[in-house]
Amino acid sequence: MATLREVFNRDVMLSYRNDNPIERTPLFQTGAFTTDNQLNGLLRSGISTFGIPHINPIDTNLEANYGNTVYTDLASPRPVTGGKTQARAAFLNEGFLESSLERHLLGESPLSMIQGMIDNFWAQQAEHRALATVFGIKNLVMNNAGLKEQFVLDVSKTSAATEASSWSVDAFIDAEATMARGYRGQGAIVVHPKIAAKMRKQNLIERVTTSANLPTVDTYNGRAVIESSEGTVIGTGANAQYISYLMGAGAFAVGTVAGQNDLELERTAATGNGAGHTALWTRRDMLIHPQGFNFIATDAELTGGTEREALSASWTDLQNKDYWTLGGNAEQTSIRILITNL
Amino acid sequence: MGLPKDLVEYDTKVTFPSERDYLDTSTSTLLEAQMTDPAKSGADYGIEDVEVTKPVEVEVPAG
Repeated sequence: MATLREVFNRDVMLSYRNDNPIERTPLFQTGAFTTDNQLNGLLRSGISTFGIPHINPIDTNLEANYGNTVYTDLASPRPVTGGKTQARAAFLNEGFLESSLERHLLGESPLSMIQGMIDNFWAQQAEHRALATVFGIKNLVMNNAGLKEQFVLDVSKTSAATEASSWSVDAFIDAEATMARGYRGQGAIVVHPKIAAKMRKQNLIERVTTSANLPTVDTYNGRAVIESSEGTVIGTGANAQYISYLMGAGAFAVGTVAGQNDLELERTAATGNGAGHTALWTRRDMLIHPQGFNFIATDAELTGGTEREALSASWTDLQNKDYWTLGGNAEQTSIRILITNL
Repeated sequence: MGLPKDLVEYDTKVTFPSERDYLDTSTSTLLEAQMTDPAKSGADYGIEDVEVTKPVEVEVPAG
């Protein structure tokens, strides 16, 4: 069997690397997570805190202006309101000992296999960070009466669940009605598989194919249905509470770039009582941020790192309701939560 | 240059995989969604470290 050192070629491995491997995971398939080159550029610069710009929807209730023929009559343009929300990057890494890569080293094209494994690892890590971010927003709005009224529709019961407390299209419409008109009927809804099954039983699922997304997508009232069993149910039995997340397209800004010195081979000579070990290190810088919310944890509060220095937000930090604030107003965001029984 | 004084040495700290958080949303409640079970870490889910490690010895102050 070839050793990792014999087959390792950084340039070849880089050629196999998928720079944006995050689109295959459930949350990222929603389309609610969007990235742009500007964000990736900022991440590459190594800055840890960012201002992420967003543009608010134009208020269409203002009547349009009317032109005339008078040379000295001037029109003034409307300002487009927007803002910046505060976000924080995470600097992640992972190392794999050669022995843990053995299975791939036995294969025909080990570098491609190993890179595939690493891409998949980071895709899942991005998914977990996205989930932690969603949890943080949920914890914020669930524990603040004012925000809960604007972001959450809870029709569920903790005992004696009834037809009225179960998933229905009425509950969905009521939840969607709390967001601005422009955000309705598009984006995605993340639901527990049992809720997705109920949607199907109610014959309210459409299968849609677009040129950008060739496999058919299950769509519920215009929203792509994404099934996930993570964080979508509390409790068991007839009174289990199912949490569905409505997310507009682009509700989350995402940046993910390979960290400096991604794919580094480390060789220790003295370990193994002189036989030595080889480890492969991979690094990613990531940013996942919900539009309209600020992440306000200070450097001293972060736990992504060690006790001596933590530069990144860990899952625990991301899910902490005290570290999030609503930057603008609820109407400018397209994230809503619907809680029902089955 | 004389011999070094040997007054300082590296104070290294290792982050072991077994001590890192592991995804487990089972302790979530409706009000507090949790990515991990705070009482557990990687070791509780079968994550192993390199072959030989030893528990940290904490010095208990006298008295």
